[in-house]
Amino acid sequence: MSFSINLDRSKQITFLILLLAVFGLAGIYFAVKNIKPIELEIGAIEDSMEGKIVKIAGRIDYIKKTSSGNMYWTVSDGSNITVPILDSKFKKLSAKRGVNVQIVGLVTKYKGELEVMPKEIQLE
Amino acid sequence: MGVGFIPGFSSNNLSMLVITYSMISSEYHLAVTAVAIEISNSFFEFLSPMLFGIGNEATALAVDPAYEGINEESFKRSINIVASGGLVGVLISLPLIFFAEKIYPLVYSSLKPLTGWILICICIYMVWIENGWRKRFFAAMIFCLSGILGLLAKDSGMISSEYLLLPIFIGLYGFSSLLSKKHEKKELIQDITFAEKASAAGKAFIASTFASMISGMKRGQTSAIALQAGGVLKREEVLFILPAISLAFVTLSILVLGTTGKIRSSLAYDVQEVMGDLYFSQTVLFVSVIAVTACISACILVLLARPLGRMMTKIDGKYLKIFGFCVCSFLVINFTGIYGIMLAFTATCLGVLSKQLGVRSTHLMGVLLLPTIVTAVIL
Repeated sequence: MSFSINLDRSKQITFLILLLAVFGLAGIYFAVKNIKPIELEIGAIEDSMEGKIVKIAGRIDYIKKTSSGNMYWTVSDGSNITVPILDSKFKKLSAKRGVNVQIVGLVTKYKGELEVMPKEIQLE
Repeated sequence: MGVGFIPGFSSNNLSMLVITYSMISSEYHLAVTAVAIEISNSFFEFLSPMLFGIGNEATALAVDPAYEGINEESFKRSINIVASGGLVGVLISLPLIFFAEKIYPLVYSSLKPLTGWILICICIYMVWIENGWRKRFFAAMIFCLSGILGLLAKDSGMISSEYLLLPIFIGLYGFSSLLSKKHEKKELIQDITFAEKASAAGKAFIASTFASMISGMKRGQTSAIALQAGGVLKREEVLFILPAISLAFVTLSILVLGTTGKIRSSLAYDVQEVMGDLYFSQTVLFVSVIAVTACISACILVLLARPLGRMMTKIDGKYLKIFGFCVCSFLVINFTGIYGIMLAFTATCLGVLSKQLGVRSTHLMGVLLLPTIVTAVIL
């Protein structure tokens, strides 16, 4: 017993391109999953790293809460960086001033200032 | 002006270089210089899709109608249409100066919670206007696959955000056009009538005003929506409407900055960086600078049309294609590396697929629209 799909040449090409596109997307998915964050000190984060995933460690120096429920941590290891806490799963964390923290996040820029948008947070 | 010829180099980079290293001490002069650079670039960036078939977020949709305008006369007409479109884009946004102070703060905050849902309705409409269920299915498929590509790439950390869209747009609209045009014979670009210009200007005005009020919408998304919702448009109308939207959007972004403090474009970012929060009188000043720069840029672009057109006819189209392919490949490999190659490959497959399936290339803008929708609905 054999299965065959009768497609003319143009449809075969279209189907092949569709398959390549899906394989491409799958490849990108696995590549993204395996991206290792760049471990560095806060002071080493620079403009050219915008859009990269980094891992930083430091102490929460200041917590600012807004009326909308968002929080902004200032994390310091000698140098400072702002960590916006917009995701509800991170808002539940019992973070206080002076607590040491490890953050994996995306380097972004807001109004000219570099920030680390967290993807993972570990309180110590 | 030169930046327009260099695909992949953003005028924002040049503005920031000027802001950082210039000897200009007055913040007004710096901001005006940044405005002049950005506005003239908004005109000249349309040369890159015409000459090399390479587009960015704002000009990618011009690749198909403009590229292979091979003939000198056709190329000249394309440039004239783009110049007049850009100029009209600035002119149609000027009357909003009188209402901006009252309208923007009110409408901006009211529409913000609805952004995601408004975009969903627009996208459903975009797919719905395709002819027949078969085409609608293909259009939805292309939109979703492109959107998945955008979602995977966005905030992934693969490539620095400055260059993230480069391999995607080169793949979707650059490589795919270079690969698909093999047997295609295009008709020459015709002049555009006054009625067509008026209709396209109206569409550009509605689209850019609407987009300027919705956070998360940028030039690329606005162009895609205007082209889709605008029904079936001639190539000449597309070439007119894209610069009109691009320039109108940039002008309105200064009005939005002045009235709400929100940054909606790279130009608004530059101005805010130099000037801080704007007074309304300063906003009017910058809009005037935009109008003057737009007039000068449009004139220079029109003057350039003839010599560039002559140069085009002297070069064999085949070599121009090979050159375009080499430039695209160099940009992707040099700026984005292995991840960029993966993105460009997948984007090329999607671009070619949309042509094979016979659906409009605007559905590929799902790459920008779907992530915007997801961000707006979830956050």
